Amino acid sequence: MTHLHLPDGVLPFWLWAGGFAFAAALIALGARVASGTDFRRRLPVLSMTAALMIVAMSIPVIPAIYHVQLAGLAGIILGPSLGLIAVFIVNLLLALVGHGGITVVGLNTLILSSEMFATWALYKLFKRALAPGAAAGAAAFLAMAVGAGVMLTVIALASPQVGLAHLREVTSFGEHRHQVHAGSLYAALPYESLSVRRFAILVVGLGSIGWVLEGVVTGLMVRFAARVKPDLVGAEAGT
Amino acid sequence: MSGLDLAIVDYWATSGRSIIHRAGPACKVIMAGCFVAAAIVTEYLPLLPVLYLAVVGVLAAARVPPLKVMALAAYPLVFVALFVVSAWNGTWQMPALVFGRALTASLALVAVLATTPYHRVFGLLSRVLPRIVGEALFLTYRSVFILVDMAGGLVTATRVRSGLRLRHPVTNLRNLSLALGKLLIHAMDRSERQYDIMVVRGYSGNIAGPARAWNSAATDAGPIILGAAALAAAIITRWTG
Repeated sequence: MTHLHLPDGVLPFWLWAGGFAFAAALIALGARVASGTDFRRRLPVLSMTAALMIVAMSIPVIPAIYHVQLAGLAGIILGPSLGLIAVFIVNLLLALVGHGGITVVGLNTLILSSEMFATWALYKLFKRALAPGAAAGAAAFLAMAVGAGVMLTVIALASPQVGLAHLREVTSFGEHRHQVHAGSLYAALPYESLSVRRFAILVVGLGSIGWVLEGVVTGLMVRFAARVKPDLVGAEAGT
Repeated sequence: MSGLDLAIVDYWATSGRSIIHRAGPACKVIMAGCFVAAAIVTEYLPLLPVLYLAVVGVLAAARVPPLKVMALAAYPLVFVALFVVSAWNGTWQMPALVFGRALTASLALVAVLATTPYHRVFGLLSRVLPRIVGEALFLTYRSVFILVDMAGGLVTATRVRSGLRLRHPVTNLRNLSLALGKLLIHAMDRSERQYDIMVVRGYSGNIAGPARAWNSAATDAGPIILGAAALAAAIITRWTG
């Protein structure tokens, strides 16, 4: 559980629809940039990297509730535009098998992409001073914190603590009509009582172990790749 | 979800011969869309188990093992549990709504992929995705199966060398990382060969062929009617309850 995928039905319409639109715009931009490069040659690499992310998620790390997701590694290998496409494809495939919601594919893509992009940028920065493995490990660890921050921002936007009530009114489609009491068969909207502080404590408390695991695994994988296939991770031979 | 889960779902989709399997992918996608919309529109709690059981009924009609699909589609429970703890308002209705919505939507989506061969679903999705994203989607799906085979061998080899031990998490983590590093290198070598093979076979930048979206009125009407009924029930109970 280094990463959580948002499910359907917990966030307000305006938020997940906005996430969808924003992610779609980014993917269209990423596809446009990628098609200008040697995309046909990079397509199998992109696909294998996305597939590796899916397969890696199925291998439990001790403690067994954790698994790695390798979005940072995708950023290092593919760069931001192809990495974005890989992250979207992973989220779409996972949503089709019930692992994360379909309406929140956009938001899940934005959250995972923030980790991918942060790892790519930090790796480029850290590589100037550190060995590739250490640079990748540190970058992946910090990027996981960035991803958690983006997720908490998404959750905060849905919560009553953030003043976006006017957006809820516009997109409520008749919500809040029902008075909920002990015997009521109607429910209050879940995000109306959401405590961002409580959610942050849970996500950071449980997730921080995952950040370390993600950093260690990504670092060791990049160290291995830098020895065997240095061009794959932008390392010089012999590092 | 894992690569192995994907393999099982793929097997159900390609080996089934039921009327649900024979229906066109477009009608099943519309049905799933309606169920997802119904789940997130309704605030009337008794409707959620009805929607869920309707999808279970579709799976039973397709002769896909419902319990296995339900287990596969239960992944959202982890996130929902965290969400419920964070949003607990002292009522039983809120957790019931969140669990019901997430599980119903998840099951509806798995039902589509478990009854429709992937190339037909992806062919449909490719119509709305940028071309290069559609092509990458096809190749990624195929690559998962290649990597699952490779990963199985590597994990077995690591276990044989006493590499994965519960009592030694640090050693375990190092060996797992090494196994994943080897998998990464094998995957990249394989991707280079894959590109060469694609070029030899005349790849010109178009993998996804045209997929037939519809079958016949006899097979396609049922899922659409069911989905429309689910959505209508959700809308009616929302505004009249």
